[in-house]
Amino acid sequence: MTDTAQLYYDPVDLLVERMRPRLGRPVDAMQVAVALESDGITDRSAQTDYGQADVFMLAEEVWRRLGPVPAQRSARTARHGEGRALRDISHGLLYLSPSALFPVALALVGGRTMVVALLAVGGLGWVWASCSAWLAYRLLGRGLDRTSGRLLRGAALVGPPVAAGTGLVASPAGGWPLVLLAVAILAYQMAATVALFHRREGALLAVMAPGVLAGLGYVAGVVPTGPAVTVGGTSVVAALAFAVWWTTRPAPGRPPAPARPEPSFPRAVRPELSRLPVVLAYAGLSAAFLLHANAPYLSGAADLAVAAAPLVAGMGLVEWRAHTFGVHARGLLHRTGYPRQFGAAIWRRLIAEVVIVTGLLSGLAMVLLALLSATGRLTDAGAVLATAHVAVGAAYFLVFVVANHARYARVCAALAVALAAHFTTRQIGAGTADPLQDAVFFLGSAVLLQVSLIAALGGILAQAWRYR
Amino acid sequence: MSEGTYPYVTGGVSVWCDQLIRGLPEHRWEMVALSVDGSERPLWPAPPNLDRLTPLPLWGARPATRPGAPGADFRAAYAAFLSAVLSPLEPRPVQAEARRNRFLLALRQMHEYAATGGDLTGALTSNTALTMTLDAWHALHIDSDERITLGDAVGALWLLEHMLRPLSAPPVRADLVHAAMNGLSVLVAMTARWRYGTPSVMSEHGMYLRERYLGFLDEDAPHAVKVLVLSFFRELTGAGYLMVDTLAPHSVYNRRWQLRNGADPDRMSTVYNGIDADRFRPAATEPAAPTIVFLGRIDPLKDLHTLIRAFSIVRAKIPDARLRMFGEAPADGLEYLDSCRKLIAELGLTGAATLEGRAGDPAQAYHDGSIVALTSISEGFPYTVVEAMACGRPVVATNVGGVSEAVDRTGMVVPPRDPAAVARACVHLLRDHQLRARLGADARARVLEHFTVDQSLDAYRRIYRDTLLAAGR
Repeated sequence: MTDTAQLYYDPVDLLVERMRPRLGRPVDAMQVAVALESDGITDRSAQTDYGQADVFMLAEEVWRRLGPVPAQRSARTARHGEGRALRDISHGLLYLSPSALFPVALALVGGRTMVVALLAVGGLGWVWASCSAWLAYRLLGRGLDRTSGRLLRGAALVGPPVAAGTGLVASPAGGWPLVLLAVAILAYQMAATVALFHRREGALLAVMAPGVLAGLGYVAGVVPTGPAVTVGGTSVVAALAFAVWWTTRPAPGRPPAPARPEPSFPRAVRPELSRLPVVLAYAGLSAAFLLHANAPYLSGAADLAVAAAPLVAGMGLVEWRAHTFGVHARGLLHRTGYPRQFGAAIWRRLIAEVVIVTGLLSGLAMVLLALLSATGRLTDAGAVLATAHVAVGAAYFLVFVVANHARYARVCAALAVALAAHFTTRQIGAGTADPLQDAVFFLGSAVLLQVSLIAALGGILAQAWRYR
Repeated sequence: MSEGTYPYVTGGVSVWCDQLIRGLPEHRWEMVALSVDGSERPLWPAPPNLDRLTPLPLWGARPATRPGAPGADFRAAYAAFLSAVLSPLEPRPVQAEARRNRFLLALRQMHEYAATGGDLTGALTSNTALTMTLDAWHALHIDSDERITLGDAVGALWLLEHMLRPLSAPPVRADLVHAAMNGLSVLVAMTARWRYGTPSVMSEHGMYLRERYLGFLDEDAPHAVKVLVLSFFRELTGAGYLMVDTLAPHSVYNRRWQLRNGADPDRMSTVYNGIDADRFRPAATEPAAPTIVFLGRIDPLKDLHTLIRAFSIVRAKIPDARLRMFGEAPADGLEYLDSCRKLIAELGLTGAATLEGRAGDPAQAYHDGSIVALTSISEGFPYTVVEAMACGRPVVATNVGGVSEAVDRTGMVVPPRDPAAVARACVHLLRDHQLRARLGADARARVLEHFTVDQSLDAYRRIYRDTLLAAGR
């Protein structure tokens, strides 16, 4: 009797154990029925092999016998990789590195041409590169990998001649030096854009290293003008060549582009055109806000000319914290039970990040101010202007947060208000004749930008669905 | 109406839609196609009696929304919706039907909310809807051992918002609405009924609910999301059966699932898929080498891995055997196509097993095989089986959906996911010329008797007439 009992196995029990790995944690008996059928069980075999009326009845029995299946929650929040953090932080170096070549360029083309190039072409390049990157990401998001590459390649190749034309229009007397400088500025801006898109920041820094060293050597007086210009120019040309080559490669994390046909370029781009103007406005206002503040001081006192350096060098830190904020928000979604808890936590985190960004940029600014102070070149105006750029950096953290919610119009409105405020106060006050007063006004407009952006996040930031 | 098929992709449902529209020239047609993002281009030339194609993108950009919390109308509708969706599977028919009624009413309230200017997209993704979902989940104690997170609720509602977009679209104006399948496309039929009282007919090729359940078995989604989404599909499917005037399953197998999910047997009329027997004529000769042909979509539901593994066994016994697989992968299925290529290489079948892309002439593709194989894990009433039979080719197919009804005794039906069984059947047929010839002739005769396009079209003419008459139109 005991032996018989040991040898007897209920076929449904055996079926339950056989199906358990495939079933995992079914949601109901209907899903069990589906799995049984796809495993070859029919109404007939349910009757003859398992003694049940049909597959549905058998499924209910299997469902009952499966019992509670332990929850297995897969890890959802990807770890914020150190590689990503380093790449983000390195962006500051990418943005800062061409400034090593500015002194030699200044010696070559003269102060006025330099200012024209930086303002007109720098502003154009900012808009050109931002819009190209935005469009490329949009196309990539729609699976149009090859079109995305074509767009970046076209923008990288067409941009420099357009920059040359813009420079000449802005300053017809600039001549060839201005043309060359304009081409170099936009070529580098597009090279950096492509490098960021293809996660080739390290490679671009390596390509630019000889040029940066030559520029620094020129400043230190150990490299003559000719070799410094030659090496710097060669680095920029090489950077553009590499960027063009990268655009022919698959985007990061994507397989080699399949042979699947993609729509023509105009058809691919058309759906994005309705949103392009606001992105264009966002880039234009960003450029205008910073260039308007700094333009008067670019060829003036050293502490005012370099006051934006901590912001430029720390922009990678700002991007890193903005990305970290997004990761944290998505993680928070899985750690909180209700939207109201999420809302309170996300606002606390936002304020904390603004403080962190301000602290990080302040650290960079302190280094610069200490150096300037040690060499006796620091004025009150320089200190306030550097502080204002720290505040702008914190504001840009907020800009990235708002833009990540695709609320470009709100960003534009905040930038327009800040720009108008600085412009108006400069007109009403002593203008650039009193750099200290102007720097205080700029600091005020940066704080106003922060406040506007925080207001712009009202009604958006705590909406949980946005962090899916 | 259809979802994800005609006129943007190839496949059985698309063949059927084209056949139906062209085959009933006495009717004027408007096609409402639930699509991905609206950027799709039609792959099928428009029939002359197709007046309009209306794409209804489900996954396109989020419609413009208005700020502010949703109003009481939405909250009432959504509470009823949650009550139906979050309750456990109801085995008692009367209670199950009452729940389907509640669910249908909730859908109608949501449609009316959108039709009267409410922002359904904004409401469904609002913190209010999320809180209601979490409250309902906790109140029903659905899952005591795994708590639902806010992230789970966000994930589920994000999917539901996209899937319910047809409720916000303007209802179609027609004498009759014919849904090619159950599921989301039936939402279009529902809104037409609510607004204009339009009667509707529903065909089902594959079993919509079954395929959703199957798809989510391998989905790496949180359990709570699976519960919410699959329960939604379950209730929607039941509500679809409840709402339509005539249900036309394409096989007895489909009928069985439909009855289980609340369909009314008095309103059902089985219509088999039909093919043009003149287009798929019997093959005059056989290929020189023993050849197995597959024709269909390159898709996990077709389980080509089982076919390739089975062929590796066949090849060990019949060294000159070939496997030719005709068909394309859908745009989002290139990974599966690649996995098939890799498996062919891994099993040393390169050159013997080939993925040949879309067949220029399907009849010729069947003629190129000694036998035709279909190893799907889920099917409705597959055209490829009936077409192969019309070409006089015996079929080796898995016992899923209406396959065994189609094949009957004219081929070999084996269990799914069983390469050894598939291989045994293939070897048996490939080695026995006389058996192949006899089964092929029987298959052709069976098609002429039961599965011609004229029979199918006549059945639909009758269904349309009867449905309109019953609706007083």
